[in-house]
Amino acid sequence: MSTSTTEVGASARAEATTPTLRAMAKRWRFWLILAAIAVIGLLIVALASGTGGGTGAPYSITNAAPEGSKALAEVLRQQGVDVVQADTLREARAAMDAAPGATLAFADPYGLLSDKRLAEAAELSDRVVLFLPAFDELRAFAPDVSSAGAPRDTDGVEAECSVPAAQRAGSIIGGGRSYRAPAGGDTELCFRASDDAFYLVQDDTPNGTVTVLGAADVLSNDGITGAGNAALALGLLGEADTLVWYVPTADDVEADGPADITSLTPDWVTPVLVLVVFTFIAAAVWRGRRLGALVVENLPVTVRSRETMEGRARLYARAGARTHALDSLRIGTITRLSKVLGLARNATVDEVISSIAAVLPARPLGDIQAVLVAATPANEADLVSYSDRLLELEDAVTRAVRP
Amino acid sequence: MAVSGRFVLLVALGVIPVVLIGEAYRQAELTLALWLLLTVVIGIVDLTLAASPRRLVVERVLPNRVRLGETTSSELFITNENRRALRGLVRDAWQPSAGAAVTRQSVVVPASERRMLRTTLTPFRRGDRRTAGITVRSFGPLGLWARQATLASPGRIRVLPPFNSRKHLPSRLARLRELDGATSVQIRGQGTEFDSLREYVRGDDVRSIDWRATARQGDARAGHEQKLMVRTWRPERDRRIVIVIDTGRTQAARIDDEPRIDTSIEASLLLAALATRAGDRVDLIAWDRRIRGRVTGASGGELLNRMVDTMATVDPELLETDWSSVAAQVRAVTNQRALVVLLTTIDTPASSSGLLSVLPQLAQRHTVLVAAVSDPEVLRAVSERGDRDETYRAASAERSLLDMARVTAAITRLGGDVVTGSPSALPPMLADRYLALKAAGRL
Repeated sequence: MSTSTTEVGASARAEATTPTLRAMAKRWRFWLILAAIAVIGLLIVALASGTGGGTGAPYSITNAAPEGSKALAEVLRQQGVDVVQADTLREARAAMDAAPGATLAFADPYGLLSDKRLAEAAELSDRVVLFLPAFDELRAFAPDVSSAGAPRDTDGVEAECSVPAAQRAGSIIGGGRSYRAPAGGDTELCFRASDDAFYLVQDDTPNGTVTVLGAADVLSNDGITGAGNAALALGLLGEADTLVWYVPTADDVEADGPADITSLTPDWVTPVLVLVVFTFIAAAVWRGRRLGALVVENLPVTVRSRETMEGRARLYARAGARTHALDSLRIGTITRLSKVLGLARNATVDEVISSIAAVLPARPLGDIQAVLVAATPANEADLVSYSDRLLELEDAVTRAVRP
Repeated sequence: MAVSGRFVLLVALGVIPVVLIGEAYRQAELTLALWLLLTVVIGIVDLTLAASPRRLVVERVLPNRVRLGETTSSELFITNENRRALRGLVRDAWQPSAGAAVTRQSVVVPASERRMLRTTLTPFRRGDRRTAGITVRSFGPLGLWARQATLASPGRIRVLPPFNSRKHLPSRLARLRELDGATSVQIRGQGTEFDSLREYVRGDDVRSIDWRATARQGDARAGHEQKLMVRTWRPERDRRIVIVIDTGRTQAARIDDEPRIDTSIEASLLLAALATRAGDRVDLIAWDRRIRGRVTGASGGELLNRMVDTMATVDPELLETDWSSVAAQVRAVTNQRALVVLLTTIDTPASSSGLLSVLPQLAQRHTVLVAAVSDPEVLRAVSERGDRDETYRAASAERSLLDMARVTAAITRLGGDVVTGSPSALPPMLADRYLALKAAGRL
């Protein structure tokens, strides 16, 4: 039983089972290349479709998509018109102040401006072009003009009026919204959509000339090339040297009621929260990195030796095998008693009973017989009491034989 | 690659510049981005300055064998072949049952130097306990980021059966010496053979005086004093004992938190230790459907060594033991008459039918002794009859005892002998039965 000592392992450098970075890259090469191709492909697709990061909104002069107006703005710029984009009322006012007499192109497709701001916007310029205005805008800019619904698209709507730009354009492609206004006075009605509805209404208001344009195709990149659309747009918007293109954005929405939480919290709160997230990730890497692989160990089977005994006891109990159970107990008692009484191993039950009666003369024979053989337990209380009597009998005999 | 808690702290400390600069210059986002960039850059610098965990020479010094329950220590030598010092954490991947006190230790090994790591092992399972290798995490000088690699450095330690029953050995050896001629025993009987003639001393049994030898020795004419000669006898020696350990499924059952097979091993070790001192030749077979272990032709200390070594890695298989070939296996070991000790289980006549069928064949040539572990809980359950459930359990326990008694009776009828006992009692009982058989000359 000696515990001799051996030296395991050579003095050569230990072989590492963890793959090196290079081996890892080699193994995952296929997937890495595939991922790189996918990323590059996605970038190319994004660049091809996005081109310049348009906003995606209609009437936006940076939007090159079909519904945008970048084409119009570019053409106006080529014509020498200074097109200024204004996203908020403040910017629009600043741009107008910088270039007095400029044309104001205005569209509020999402109805972002309040009535008060619309009224302010209406006073910005004395030459205003409204694109597909809704009720609120009409009330602020041109109270005389009212909406007349959306007519069916039609090709080649004739001007039939004296507005120079409309006359130059000749005909346009209809579609969008139409407007009506009481005839006569300073109001010009062009491009008839139906009986008393027109695509273009020019009205002189106290603030100046307001042109209401309802033909959507005239402005969009998609439709500007149709019929006289381009001529109309250029004529309407290119009159002055500067064009202020004001499409309200969310920044124009006034904050009502109590100040919101973002304006009250200091601006380092969000970065600190982001830092907490990064700290959490770092902590996860710190605690999550295992120091080597788990060790495998084959565990031995565990068999409880009592299982058979317990199982059989439960079977007895469930089946209510009282007589069977009591018989088992009786056989055990008789076997032990015959040994105690010094009888032969093959002694019969009757021999054992008569020996017991001889040892315990005070006990009636019938009683011993009933406990050891005859009695049948009627219920489980009976079973328990008989088993107790068996134990008691065994005890009494043992004491009588070996005092 | 791995990061340390220190790195996490460094990232978290970014809250100070973010709040201060954010409050003063309204540049919180920029500060955050710069701080994160800074931590990553410092981490990368730290990583590149860390010693490579691959450029290490690992050597182990391990004790070959240890007895179950004893404590030993494993020594791990790490030589740093880097040009930088290795600061890191080393984990020795011992199996859980090897009972390593600590599995990970921090270590600093200067360049081109060697350090020793000692691990205390207290294995709690028999058999071969292994370690596949070590994992080294090497931190940079700032202790922020670390390089990590697992190095192959296999180690094995064989955990031997405890042989707790050796405490019974001295008393049994004393009894053996009484049987043997060492103490003056001059009773002639079966199973003894003539040892020697010696001079009578007071106290010797007068019946053992050999008158013929006395007459031959005494030559009164030469003037010698007449000496009385007595014969001494000693038990027969060089008997064969074949121990067959059943490694089938019934041996997996745990009794008193010890699998039956462990008790069988204990009993066989005590018997072998005793028998080899008594001059008998002991052979061992561990068998279920094939031989799981065999020790033949060894004696003395060599025998016990080989037995513990063989039995260390034997575990019960989930198979029914094939008893029909046992007779052939015994025959392969010896052709002489032998004491065949079968260490198995006797539960029910049905499960022991294989054993019973082979007994006549064995008993014809050999003395057969069947040793089985009995469950003390069954005996306890017999007398516990407090309520309904306990009464049924007592009935069931009586039934199991009855079954065992029937198997025992059948074995006796077929010419075998049976020893049953609780796990702690079986080894000395088996040894006593061996001594009784030896005294009776039935070997």
